[in-house]
Amino acid sequence: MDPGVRALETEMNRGFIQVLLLVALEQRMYGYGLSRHLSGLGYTLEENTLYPLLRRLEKNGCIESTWDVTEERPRRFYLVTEKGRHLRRRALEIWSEQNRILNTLMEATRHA
Amino acid sequence: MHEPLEAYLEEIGRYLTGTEGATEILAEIRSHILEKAETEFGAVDDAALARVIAAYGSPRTVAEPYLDADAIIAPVYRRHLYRYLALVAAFHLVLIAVSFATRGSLYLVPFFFVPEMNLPTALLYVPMALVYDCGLVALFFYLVTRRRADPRLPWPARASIAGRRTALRPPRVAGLAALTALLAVMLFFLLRYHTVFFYTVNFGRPVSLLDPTASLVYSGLFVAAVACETACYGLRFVRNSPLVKILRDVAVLLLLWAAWNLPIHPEFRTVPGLETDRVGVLLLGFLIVVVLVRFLRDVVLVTRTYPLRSHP
Repeated sequence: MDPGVRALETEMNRGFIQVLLLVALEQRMYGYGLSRHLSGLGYTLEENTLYPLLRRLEKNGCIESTWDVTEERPRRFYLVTEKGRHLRRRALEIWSEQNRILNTLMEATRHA
Repeated sequence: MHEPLEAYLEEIGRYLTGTEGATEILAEIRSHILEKAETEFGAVDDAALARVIAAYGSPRTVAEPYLDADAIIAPVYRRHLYRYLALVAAFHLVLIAVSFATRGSLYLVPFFFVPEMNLPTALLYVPMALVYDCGLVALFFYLVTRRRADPRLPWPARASIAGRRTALRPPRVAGLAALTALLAVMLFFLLRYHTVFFYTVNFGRPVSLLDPTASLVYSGLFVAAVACETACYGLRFVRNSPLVKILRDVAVLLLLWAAWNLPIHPEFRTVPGLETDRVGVLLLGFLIVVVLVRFLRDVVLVTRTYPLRSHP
């Protein structure tokens, strides 16, 4: 991929991944399971990005985690909190508004 | 127990020392790697773990995103950092030169202390002084960053060698004329009176400040330095390059250095109320520092005019 496009994608992903996780964690999931789930949807998220971001979201109170030690391998499960839901709602509103502006501009450009 | 995995986690743990929740971070990474090896390679053996670990990234790459990334020095102060460092280092060099020339210690409590030194010690002291200056300036900007007070720091535009000037000003005829006139006057005095250092400027019977031998040698060296300045200034009409300036600086520095190290000890004429010996040393030391600073500035100019480029 063109390095310029890659840099742009990284920039655009910064906010997108947070919203993605806040949406996905409406269901209780652990890191590897979440990574597989997103991968199944066609979105690859590196571990190096996923876990620090989960930690940051938890630190900000947007998600909460619990360790499940009932199985052979302990797993840390995450779930969105009420604060996370509120943030998600606001983020999606912003995203919709940005999308609307972009579409309007593109439509105007097409007719120009 | 999987040794390669534990060694990998231990390495990550070293980078995470002191980080809150480091044990949980490592436990989660362990759980992820084991599950990925089992799911994607069918077994948790050394070969599968090695492949999963390789894909996960180097320990440092893994640890870095977990660390608090507060800037030690805020990006807005980075440009100040270099310029302030140049100023502090220049000031420190002047202190060292003064201390060396006066053969004494200098104290500027609490930041600077320059002990009395001989030449080899002074040469060893200079790089250490620069390291100290780096620390001092960095500490200042660290404290400014931590306070988050956003003070308006002055920006000395042309006071340092770190300026962004790359274009060399063209030489002027008036400049060459002034230098040539100075050289002519100095040569006249040297040939006529064998000195350019006078105690009294009486054209009928000028009195030299130094004894005859020292006067002739020191005057010769100073006239040669002015001749170098004039010749290089003239050369810049043909080729206006910073390399010519470097050539001039090196030649003048060598002449001044020769004057500093002359085995001839000058006998000064006694001037009431003035320690001529000390004044002479101070003047020579000051000239050396000035030319040295000019040399450093011209080296910076050369590196900007002829930047090193890698071959394709």
